[in-house]
Amino acid sequence: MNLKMLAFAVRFLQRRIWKNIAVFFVFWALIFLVSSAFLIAASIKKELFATLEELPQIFVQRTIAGRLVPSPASRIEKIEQIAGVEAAYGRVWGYYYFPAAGVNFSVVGLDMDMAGFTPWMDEILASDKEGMVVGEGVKRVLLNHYYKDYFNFITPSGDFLKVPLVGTFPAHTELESSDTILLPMQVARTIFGMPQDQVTDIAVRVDNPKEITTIAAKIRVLYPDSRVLTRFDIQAAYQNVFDYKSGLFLALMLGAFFAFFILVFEKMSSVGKEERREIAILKALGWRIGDVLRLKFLESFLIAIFAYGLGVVGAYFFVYYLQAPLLRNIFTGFSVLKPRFELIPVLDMGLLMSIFFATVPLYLAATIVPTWRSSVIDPEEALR
Amino acid sequence: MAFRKLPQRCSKVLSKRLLFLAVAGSFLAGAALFLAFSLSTPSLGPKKEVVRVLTLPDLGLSTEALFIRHRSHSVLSDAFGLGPSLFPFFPSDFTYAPPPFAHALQEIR
Repeated sequence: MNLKMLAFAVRFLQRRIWKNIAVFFVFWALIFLVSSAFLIAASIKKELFATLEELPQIFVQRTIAGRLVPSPASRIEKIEQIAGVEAAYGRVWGYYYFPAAGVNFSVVGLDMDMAGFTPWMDEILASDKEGMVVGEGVKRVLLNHYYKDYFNFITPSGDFLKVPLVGTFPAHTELESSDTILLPMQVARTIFGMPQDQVTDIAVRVDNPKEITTIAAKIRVLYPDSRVLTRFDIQAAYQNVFDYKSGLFLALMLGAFFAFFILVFEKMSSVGKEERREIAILKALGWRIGDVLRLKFLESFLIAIFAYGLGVVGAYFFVYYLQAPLLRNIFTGFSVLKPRFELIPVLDMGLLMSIFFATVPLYLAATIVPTWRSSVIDPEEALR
Repeated sequence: MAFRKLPQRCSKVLSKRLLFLAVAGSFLAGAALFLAFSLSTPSLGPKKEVVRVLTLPDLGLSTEALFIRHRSHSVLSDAFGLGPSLFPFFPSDFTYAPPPFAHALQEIR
């Protein structure tokens, strides 16, 4: 690259420094906002998809008249007999509405016979088998209502069920566990009033990923009233939801992008008399059209690349150091049991590249075309 | 502005150096920021363990509506009934159709 040309371009930028700073600032703000929004979405998505890998491969639910109903527990054994199924177990879980705070807790029954829990779980289980483990969000709500070490559930028959609080989920898992109450399965049955021969739904573990689709199809044939969800379905669904959300944001930003390019094009196409004179003088001194274009290209490229680089760096700082105040609310929405969570860093080159190619070349084009138009004028005519 | 008052050659050299410093500095700053954040955040391990125990997929961002929390598992006719990407509480029901290639379209009834 011609370094002298670069230095010349820098000097050219300095001649109209305030105009260039204004364009730079608008460009920077645009890049900053767009990358911040996409980084937040990418972080939440990364967390979700990383944890999805731990789910059972297939879920079997029962429907009657298009509504979900509890499944008979006898189906578990039948499903377990299908070749390729490693294990099938019934789950008892659901929502418990706590009217005083206006929140829904997710109550999950835990089968105490299942081995292989994590260390922190074992500790809790060893201390008291009949207690409940709650997420940080639940704990906050309970404390606000003066439940310090127990909670009174109201069963469907109207009785109180006093359950001691024996532990909380690790604090930084709040995004997964904030509204969750984990109980022994028997206690969960009592809270929901669910008989012994029923389960909410059935989770199926399959070792070989290639067999998941076949096994799901077999279950569907075995129980035509069932709704069979594979882990892949859930992943596809979430992919769509997140694409939709960041797409919505992009759609809103498209207007801003367009306005920005109109602004740039306007500014450059109404090249002032002075600037036209400059180009004419350069041409009179022997510069070719190509040289003038190269100079203008370097000028706008310098602005664009700095705006882009600082915009992306600023977005990383804003999203991961400041944890994206205000902007993250677009993605998290309103909630009483709002989890406090940290966005986990993502370095997505594809994302950064697509933002680059969506903005920088367009900006360059918007500045080069008007320059070309004014540089093809005869210098004598322009200088007169 | 102040630049112009400097002698020509000095300013040229200065602007080149400044340019180089700015480019190198911003890239280094970016790399350092990213490294610092990725080192300081806790690992995903405990989160995965929680999900393994709970066997429920969703993130607890919003918990008010049943079809938001664990929506993939709870209300059949809302979030997943028409297509996995539809939000019934947005005007998306009639503006946004699920993509025909989505595997989920055949899998979820």
